[in-house]
Amino acid sequence: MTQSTTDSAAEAALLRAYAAGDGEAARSLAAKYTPLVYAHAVRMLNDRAEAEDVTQEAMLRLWRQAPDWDANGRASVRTWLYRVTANLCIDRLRKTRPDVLPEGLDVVDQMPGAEERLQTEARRLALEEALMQLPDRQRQAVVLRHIEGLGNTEIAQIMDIGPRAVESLTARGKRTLTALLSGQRTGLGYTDDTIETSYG
Amino acid sequence: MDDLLESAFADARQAPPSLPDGLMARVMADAEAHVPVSEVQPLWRQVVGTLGGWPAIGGLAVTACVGVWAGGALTDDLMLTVFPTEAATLDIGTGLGAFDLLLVDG
Repeated sequence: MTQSTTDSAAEAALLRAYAAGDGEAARSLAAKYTPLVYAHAVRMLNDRAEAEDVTQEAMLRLWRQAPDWDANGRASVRTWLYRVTANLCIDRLRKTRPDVLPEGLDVVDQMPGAEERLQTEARRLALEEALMQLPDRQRQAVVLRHIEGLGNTEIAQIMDIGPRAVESLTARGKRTLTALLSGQRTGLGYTDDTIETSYG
Repeated sequence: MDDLLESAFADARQAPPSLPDGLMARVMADAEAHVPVSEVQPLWRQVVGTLGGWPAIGGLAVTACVGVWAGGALTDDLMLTVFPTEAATLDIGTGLGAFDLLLVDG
């Protein structure tokens, strides 16, 4: 899932259009990137209210950056936003992180016939809790690589490190996650069948 | 064990967090509030700026109007009253006819 130079040039053109007063250009960028920024912030913070603030702040920084955006279209809006979002999240975590696991996880709804949804929700929460036990940089690398689906080269640009360091961070993160989740395998309904289904 | 983790990642990919109500509207409100002022100004604004802004333009307009009025309305008698020295005439009287002007120019 890499971004082409054409995409970057098109997005640079949208930012220029926005800077010239084109509201539709801003709408197009917001529609594409707000969900992506919010999802990344949720996975980094495991706190939806905080993630909402981070998303608004990251997008605001994009609007402010528009007049000075690389006119040659070399910079990628996605890479830039991931970096800003992660930095905002890490800043917040450093200021507020307690030593215990964060609370504020969503309450599972009690709609009828929701047994499967409950299990899916339980899995999601288990993964989020396990992710939150990783060091910030490991979590960032694992989320970008295995959930957001980015390539190591782009992750390296976002994190301002080399591709080998990305591989090292993701490998260590995965080892820790595996250890954390393996104890809950049966409780979360992960059987050999479900695992094979996920791959299909 | 890797299968377990990959399965958890797959679940997470399939169900990204949905946007809260109002977030997109707030993002767009920020975008509208922070539209940069265009650096390229219309020609008329550039001309006004070059001349020194609206006060300077006002001064120029008043001066031009006074000039037009003076050119059309002031009589020779009034000119003598207002500018007595400016209205004086030169009569060299050399008898050289049209060549008098050469003497005046030097």
